[in-house]
Amino acid sequence: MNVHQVGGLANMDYMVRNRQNKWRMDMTVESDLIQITLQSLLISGSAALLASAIGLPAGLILGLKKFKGRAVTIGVFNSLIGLPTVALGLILYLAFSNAGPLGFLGLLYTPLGIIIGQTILVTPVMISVTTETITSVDDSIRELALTLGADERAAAFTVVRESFGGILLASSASFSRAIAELGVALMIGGNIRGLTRVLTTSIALETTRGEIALGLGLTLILITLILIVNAGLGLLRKRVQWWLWE
Amino acid sequence: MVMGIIQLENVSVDFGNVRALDDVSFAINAGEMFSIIGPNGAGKTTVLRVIAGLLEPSEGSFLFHDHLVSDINRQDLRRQAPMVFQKPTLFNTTLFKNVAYGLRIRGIAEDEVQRIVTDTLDLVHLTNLQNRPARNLSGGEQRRASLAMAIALDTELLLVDEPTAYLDNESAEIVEATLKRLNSERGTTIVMVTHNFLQAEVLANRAAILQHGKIKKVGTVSEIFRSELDGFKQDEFKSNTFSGFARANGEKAHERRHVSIELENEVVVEAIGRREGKVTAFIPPQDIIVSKEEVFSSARNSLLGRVVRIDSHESTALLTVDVGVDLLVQITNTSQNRLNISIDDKVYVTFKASSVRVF
Repeated sequence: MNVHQVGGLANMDYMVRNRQNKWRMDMTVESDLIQITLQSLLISGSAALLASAIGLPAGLILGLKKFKGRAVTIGVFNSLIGLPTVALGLILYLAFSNAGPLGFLGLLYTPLGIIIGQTILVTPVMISVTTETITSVDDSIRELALTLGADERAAAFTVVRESFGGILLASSASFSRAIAELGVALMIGGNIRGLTRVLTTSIALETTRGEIALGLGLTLILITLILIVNAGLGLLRKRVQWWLWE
Repeated sequence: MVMGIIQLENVSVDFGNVRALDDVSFAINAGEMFSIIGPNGAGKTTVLRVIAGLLEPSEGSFLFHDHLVSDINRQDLRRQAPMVFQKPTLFNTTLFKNVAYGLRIRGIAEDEVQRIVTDTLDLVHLTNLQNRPARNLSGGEQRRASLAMAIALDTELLLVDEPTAYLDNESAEIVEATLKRLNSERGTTIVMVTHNFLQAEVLANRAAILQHGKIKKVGTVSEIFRSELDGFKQDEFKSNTFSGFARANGEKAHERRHVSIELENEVVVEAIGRREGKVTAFIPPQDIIVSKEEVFSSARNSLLGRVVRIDSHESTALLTVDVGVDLLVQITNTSQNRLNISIDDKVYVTFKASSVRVF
C-alpha cells in the first residue's frame, strides 16, 4: 500500500463519516421538525378545544339570552380579542413563576402552561364569534321554530344548528390564533427543545440565529398547517350541518 | 252557535316609547277566514304576532278558547296557531325536512310524517322539489314552502302575513286556492294580514281595518267595504278592479296559460292564470304605461282611451282614463309634464298580461 493509497483511504473515511454526520444531522432536523409540528398541533389544538368548550356555551348564552349587562359583556369579550399576546404572557409568567400566586402549580415552562395561556388568549375569539353568529342568524329562525311548535330549548337548538357554520369558523379562528401566537408560548413555555418548543418559538429562534432559510421553512409549515386545518373544517362544515338535520 | 276561538280585549303593545297597538279589541270565530287590513305600518303584523304567541301584549288580555294566554300556556297556543311570515323563512336543509320539522317536533311517527309531507307538498304544487335545499328555491316556491310547513300541522288556526306579497300571479293563485281549500275543506280558521283590499274581499268572511295601531272597524267584508272610513282611500284600493269573464285562449308562455277576460263595454284584457269563468281582475295602477302614441311592445294589452280626471299628489299624478271602463293610471308628475297630458287628451294605456291579477 503506497502513500497515495493510504491518503486516499483516509480521505474516503473522512467523506463517509462526514456523510454519516450530515445524515444524522438531517435526521435530527427532520425528527425535530416533526416533533415541533406535532407539539404545536397538540398544544394549540388542545387550547382551541378547551376554548370551544368554554366559549361555545358562553357565546350561546350571550347570543340567545337577553339580560342586563349583556351589551357590556359582549363589548368586553370583543375588546379582549385584541389582547397582546406578550402582555398576557407576562401576566401569566408572573402568576406561574415560583414567587407568583400560582407558582405552586409548577406550570411555568410546561406544555400545560402554554395550553392554559393560549386557552385564555383565544376564548374571547370563540365567545365573540359565536355570539355574533348566533345573533346574526335571523331571529325569525327562532320564531319559526317556536311557531311550528318547538319549545324554547328546541328552538335554541335549531338556532345553533343554523349557526353551525359560524361556530365552526369560531373554532377555526381560535385554533389559528393559538398556533400563530408567540408571546405566550415563549414566555410561559421558554422554548425548551423537545418539551415546549413550538413552531412560532422555533421560527423566532432560527431567525435570531441567522438561520433565515430554516425560519422560512418553519413559517411555510405553520401557514400550511393553518390552511389545511381551515380547509378541513370547511369541508366538514357542510357535511356536519347536513348531518345535524338527520 | 259560532264559537269564539280568539279574543283580544283592549290589547296594547309598546315598543319602547312607540305604541304599536292601541286598545285593540276584536274576536275571531272558529272556522272563519278573517282578514286584518290596513296600510303599511298600521300594526297588522304586530296583531298577528300577539295571536301567534310570539309577542306579549303590554296591556290588555288575549284569550284563546276563552282561556287567558299567559307564559304557562303560550306553548300550547303556538302548537295550535302556526304563523307564516311575510318574508319566507326556511331552515337550511331540504324542503322535505323543512315541512317535516313541526311534525317531528310533535313526535309523529316517521311513516306518517312521510305521508303528510308528501300530501302537503302536493297541495302547494312542490312535490317534485322535496329533496332540493329549501333555500335554493325561487321566491314563489319558498313562499309556498313556508305555507306548507304550517299547513302540514293541520292546526285549528293558521296565521298568514301578507300571503301573496311579491308573488307572481301563478304562485299567488296557488297560495290563495290553498288557503280557500284549507278553510272550506278542513275548517281551519285563518287569520290573514293584507294591505290588499281586493284579496280580503275575495278570500275573507270578516275583516278588521287597522290604522295607526287602532281598530277602525270590524265586520263582514261587505260591511267594511260599504262603510266610510276617515283617511282611508278606499277608492284607490278598489280602483282598477273589474268583474269579468275569463276564457283560456289556448296560448301558453313558459307553461303559464293565457286567458282573455271580457270586462264591461266589450273591453277585453289579457292575463296569465288558471282561473276561468266569472273572475275579478285587478290591474295595479303603477304597472300601466301611458303614452300619446300607440306603443308597439311585448306587452299584450294596449287600449285607447280618454283622460277624464287628473289628481295630482306630491310627486305622483293619478290619471283616470276611460277605455270603456275607468282605468286609474299612476305616473310621476315629471312624466305628466313631459307628456303634457291634460283632461280630454286621447292616450294609450299599455300593460303586460302578467300585471293583471285574477281572483
